[in-house]
Amino acid sequence: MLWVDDTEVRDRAPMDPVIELIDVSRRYQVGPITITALESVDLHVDPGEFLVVLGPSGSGKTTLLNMIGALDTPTSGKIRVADVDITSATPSDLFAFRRSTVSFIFQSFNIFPGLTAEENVRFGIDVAGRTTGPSARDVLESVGLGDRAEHFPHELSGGEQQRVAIARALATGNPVLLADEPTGELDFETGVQILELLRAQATDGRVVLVVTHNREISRIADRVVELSSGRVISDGAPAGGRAAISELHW
Amino acid sequence: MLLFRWTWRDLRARWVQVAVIALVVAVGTGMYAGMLSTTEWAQISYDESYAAVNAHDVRVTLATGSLAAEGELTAAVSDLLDGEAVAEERLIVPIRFDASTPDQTIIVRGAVVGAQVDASVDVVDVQRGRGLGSADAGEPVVILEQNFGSFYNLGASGTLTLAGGSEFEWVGQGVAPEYFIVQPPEGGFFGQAEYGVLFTSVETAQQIAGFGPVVNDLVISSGADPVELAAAVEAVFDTVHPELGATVATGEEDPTRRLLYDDLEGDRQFMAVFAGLIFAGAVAAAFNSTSRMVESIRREFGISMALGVPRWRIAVRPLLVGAEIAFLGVVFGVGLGVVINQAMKRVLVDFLPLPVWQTPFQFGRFAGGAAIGFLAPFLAAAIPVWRALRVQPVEAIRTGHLAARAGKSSLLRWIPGDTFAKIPFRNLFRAPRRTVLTALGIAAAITVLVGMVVMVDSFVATIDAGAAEVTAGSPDRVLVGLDTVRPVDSPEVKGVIAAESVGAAETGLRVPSRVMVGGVGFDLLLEVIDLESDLWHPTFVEGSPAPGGVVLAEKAAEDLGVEVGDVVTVEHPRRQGPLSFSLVESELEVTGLHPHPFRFVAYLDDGDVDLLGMAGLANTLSLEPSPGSDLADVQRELFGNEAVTSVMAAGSVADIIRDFLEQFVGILQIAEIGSILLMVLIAFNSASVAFDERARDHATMLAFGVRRRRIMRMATVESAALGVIATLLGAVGGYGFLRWAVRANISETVPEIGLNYVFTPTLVVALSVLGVVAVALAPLFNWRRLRRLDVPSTLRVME
Ligand SMILES: Nc1ncnc2c1ncn2[C@@H]1O[C@H](COP(=O)(O)OP(=O)(O)OP(=O)(O)O)[C@@H](O)[C@H]1O
Ligand SMILES: [Mg+2]
Repeated sequence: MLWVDDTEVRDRAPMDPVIELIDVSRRYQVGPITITALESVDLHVDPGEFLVVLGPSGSGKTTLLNMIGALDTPTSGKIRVADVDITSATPSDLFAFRRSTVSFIFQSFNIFPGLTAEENVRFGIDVAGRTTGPSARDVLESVGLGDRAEHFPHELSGGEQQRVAIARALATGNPVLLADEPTGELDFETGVQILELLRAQATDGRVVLVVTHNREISRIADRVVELSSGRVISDGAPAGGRAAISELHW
Repeated sequence: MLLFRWTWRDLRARWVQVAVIALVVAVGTGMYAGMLSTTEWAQISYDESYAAVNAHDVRVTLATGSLAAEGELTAAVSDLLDGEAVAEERLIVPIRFDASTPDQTIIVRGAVVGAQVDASVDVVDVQRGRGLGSADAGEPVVILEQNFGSFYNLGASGTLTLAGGSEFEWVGQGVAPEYFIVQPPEGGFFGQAEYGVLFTSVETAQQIAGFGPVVNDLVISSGADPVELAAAVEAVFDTVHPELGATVATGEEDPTRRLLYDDLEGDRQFMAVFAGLIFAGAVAAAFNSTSRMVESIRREFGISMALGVPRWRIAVRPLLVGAEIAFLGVVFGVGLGVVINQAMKRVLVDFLPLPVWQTPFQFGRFAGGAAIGFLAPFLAAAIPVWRALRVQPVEAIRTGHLAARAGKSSLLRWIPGDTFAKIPFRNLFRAPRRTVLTALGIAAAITVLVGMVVMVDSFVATIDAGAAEVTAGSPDRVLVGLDTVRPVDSPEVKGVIAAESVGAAETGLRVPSRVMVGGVGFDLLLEVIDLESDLWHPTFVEGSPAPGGVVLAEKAAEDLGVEVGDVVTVEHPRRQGPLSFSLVESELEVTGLHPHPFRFVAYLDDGDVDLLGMAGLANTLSLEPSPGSDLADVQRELFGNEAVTSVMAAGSVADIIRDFLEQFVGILQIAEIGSILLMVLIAFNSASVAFDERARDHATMLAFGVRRRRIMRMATVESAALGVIATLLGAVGGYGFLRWAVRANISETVPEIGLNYVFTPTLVVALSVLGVVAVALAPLFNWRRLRRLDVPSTLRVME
């Protein structure tokens, strides 16, 4: 199965990076003021990596994630994701790219209130046009919500809703998962469970990118990219080495 | 001041929605006030018109052919009148005349009404040209009745020729109370195409009649109670002048007056329901949209409460927004109402050229409309505010946005298909109350639309059915009326048959009669014809042309509650001597039913003519123009025949009524445009607010790579489903509205007509398509907003 927890096993031949950013900058023009959200960012992410983007508020984390997810285009520089050059792609290619390559998980869940948990997951399958592979119910079970399939979002807790959102993203079968502050609205315990779940997805070549401003969370990653004022100030294993989830405090 | 600027910014941020809500309020208020004004105007104008021409309080009419010496009638009643009262004699003579112009043949029958040139009762109100002066007494000078004049687009003056050859000049056109609506003597209304009235001096009328100084009509204006006066006058004539066969009636009993006032009552109800429906729809929609708008900022209340802002300060802002919308709506509404007023005024004045048309601004109506129009959006803003301020701040923050709820979505678990197919229907059920309110608003508009369209179509269809029936197999058939019952071998009848322009011809009889069953009874126009004639015969919907029975209209049978084979009592004339008739009752079997929509049309086979004792006699002819001739040729050729009183196309009634309807259609179009506008506005607004509420869903879908077209398609499906619900409600409502309008209005005002409902599948489909499509397309107006949706920022917003 796609979501078996095998993060400990990570012995692969080097391959082409799934995500590649070359000298990417993003500036916003607000009246006479130019805001630089990202400045000359270079980044390579290999298949199967679980990567945390860390940085204080306003450092450009969300901007970076939106670039990779093709929700936003860089002012300059080049981005390739899963062999697609998204900086030169047409808008219609970008829609197709989002359907087939990246899947988002949001801080505020953004699952569809009119659909049940299972249907929200089913949406992921439908949008990707996937006809083979695990069913919505299977994916929901894999995030531990098999018994809540028929429930509507307002009948679920925040953590459960976020799991539905993760299941929805997983259901697409896309190779890149992008999660922006996925634990931002959750308590510690629930947040840890969600992170565990996310880390477990970085397998079989699937890349998981988690954005956070919480340094503690970054400790569980293979690799931490730290942003400050739009620049990458460090990139590597977490300071003090990778921690088990049970070691986290926040 | 800051508060005002803030609320103004709220409005500007959603100016499209605000404008649309204001427009919805405006259309509702405007139609309500504008439409309801008309019945008030009519009431005032009728009253003042009758007063302006000093319409008679009592009228004495002598039996056909009876004449009294000038002065005799006034003398008879002089003892009954006090000082104030006025009695004036008139001479009314049936005539035919030719007022043809180079481009149209106008040969019609009608009447000359001779009165004192300085008459003070039933004064002719001259609206074009000049009136009559004392110099005109005895001269060949007349005033043309204006309904007739405008029907044929005749000018203020011109010349016409009476049957017999004398030339007359008309010097003006005017209206008189008995002809405000032209009702020819043997029935029907809006008869201006076939019935022309000439007002002139009594001296001129006497010359035309050729019987010396005689009169046959007396009109009295008096301050006394008309009913008592009429009874007294009747008593005098019964005892002193029984030979005159006088009929005495009060002014209120005048058929035109009755028609106008009865109709007014029906119109008032009709307009009230009709304007009320539109208004209610608009109010519901405005309420709905405003409360949705305010609901979407409800979260801010919670935050403000949490920050300790006093409640009244929090409440003021949304309330001001509501008040501002309401104010804009009411201002637009009053403006629109005034525009509608102007349009209605034009239609009314053209349609009914009364001496006085008073169209004062209906302050009460407008104030009432404006008050409700204002209250709806204001309350819509106030209620959510009130609800939000009562709860704990945390709750206000949490429950905030309706968009986050599933509502009654769970009722729709069964919807098949993928999630894209489910979402539109789920969305509808997420806020069922709101969906229902929106649907009701649209449905009200459709109800009015359906009611209007079906009503007009039904009228046209009814009239066409009548025309089709009387011209079946003989499209150019012409009906000729004779002045009296004449032997079929008389020179006058033979002259008609032998005329060059006349082809096949048959003689017939038409006699007034009455049908009765149990307690129900009404008048019939009984025609004696060959029921199996090759020239023309009625269609048998049921039964067959068997001798010894009567053929009734379906509507008549329905009203009487009889079927083919049942026996009815017919009261009809029977000839006793050469010129004397008596009324007798015959028990006749209903042998057939014909489809003519007028219930008074009935037939007797010419084999049964002995029932009337009139074998060998005729007072009508049915004929076809000879090859190469047409109606105008027949009219011209028979103009010289003194026995002929009318020459009309058999289907002409249809043309007249259709013409009348065309005038009425002006009013209906205003209503139709209003309801379509309302429907589209409501749908648009609902779709537009939905786009705001669904912004997060849309952004999420876009982030997942769902194409905008697909999102738009879902919105369209959702809207179309709403349209279907609304259209179904509207169609049912429209049908009910129509049934009601017919029952309350038509069947009371004109029970003679059996309306053919045109509620055909095609019409229903056409209206449904219009309703559904208009509503379904509404979301497309949000395409630009969808294109410009800032996905990252929308997703960033936290609930
Ligand atoms: N649409 C925009 N227009 C103008 N400036 C923007 C826009 N989006 C982001 N920015 C600016 O770009 C910078 C980076 O924003 P970004 O959202 O990426 O920060 P972040 O690291 O995600 O912060 P946080 O942890 O608070 O979410 C900020 O200074 C922000 O104000
Ligand atoms: Mg961010």
